[in-house]
Amino acid sequence: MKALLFGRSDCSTVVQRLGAYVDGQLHANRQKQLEAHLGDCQRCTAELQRLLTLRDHIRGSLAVSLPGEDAARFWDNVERKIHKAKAPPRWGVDRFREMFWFYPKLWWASAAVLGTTVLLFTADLVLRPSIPPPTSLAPMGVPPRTVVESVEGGPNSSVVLFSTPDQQLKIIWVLERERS
Amino acid sequence: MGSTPERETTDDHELVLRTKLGDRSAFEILVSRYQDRAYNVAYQILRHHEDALDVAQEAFARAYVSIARFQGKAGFYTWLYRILVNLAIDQTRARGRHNPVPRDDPEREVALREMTADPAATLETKELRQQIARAVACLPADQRAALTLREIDGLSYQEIARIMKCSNGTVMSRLYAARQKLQRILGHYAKAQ
Repeated sequence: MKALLFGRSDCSTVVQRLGAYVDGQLHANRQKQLEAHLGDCQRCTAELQRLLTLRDHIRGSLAVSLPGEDAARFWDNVERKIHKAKAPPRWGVDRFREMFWFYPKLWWASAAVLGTTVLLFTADLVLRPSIPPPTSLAPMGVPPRTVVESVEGGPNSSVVLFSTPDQQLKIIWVLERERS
Repeated sequence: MGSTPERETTDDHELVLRTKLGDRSAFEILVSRYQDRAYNVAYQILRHHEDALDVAQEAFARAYVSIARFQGKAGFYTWLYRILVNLAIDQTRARGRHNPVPRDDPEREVALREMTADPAATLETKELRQQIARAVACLPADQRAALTLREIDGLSYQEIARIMKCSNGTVMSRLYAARQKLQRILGHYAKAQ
């Protein structure tokens, strides 16, 4: 039987649900179970009575009304705030804070952009192939120094051997004449 | 400004549509319709008249500025209250940073229990109201907000959950915790009745 779901030992569960019961927010089945328990349990019934008394006190005590003078000026102040909100934005900390308040998704977008940037930067550092730097480099904007080491010529061809001592390169230049 | 019958009969949905089309007087009717309730909710969370007034007005202004984004899936007041409750809770947090007050202060609770210990004093309605207001001030802001939306505005758990961006279960547990704490503070008075 469903009514037995709230037995005598389940008072703590019933007490937790009394608020929802008083507020009319329990499902019909739970409500029936709870009422069955209340019919059989004086302790929970007393608790329900205390809760109803508390609710009446709260309702009678918490409601405050807007003072007449403030009520009369309320709309004027709202209009002033609307005007202020529609004024051209002044960029600053407050403006950013307000912008993020209005568009919570901006937090995620900013976090995603930041995360991607960090990831790319890290990947670039980790994955970049390690090339040993040249032992000596020519200064920027100055063409490399070239030395002609040898020139050998024949009737139909000639070979010139260049070297660039700064960059440790050797260039072999072979010229061949067309045979007629 | 609209005439009195228009203020009373036009439903929120139509007023929102007119506001979206640029009719500021339609929004003024919405403001006059909800300003008392908005102030009340803000006041219960902030417990300070000037701050509550400012937050309530700010909530309306923000609602107006972003009315184009309001899709009408929930009621206008649910949407407005969401802005309002967020603003008020943010304000209490900001205030807490500048002027920290412990949320769950057992000594404060004991002091309140002692204040309500004299049944003769609690016979006066005004005194009782003050005691309940002080007891409610002891609650954390989210519990105060849930309690106010439920007890004063009579909103359903689902509506409160939408406003506070949480589940129905969270609303239930916040209300349960708030009522338990109030009963602890005012318990002997409730028993005396």
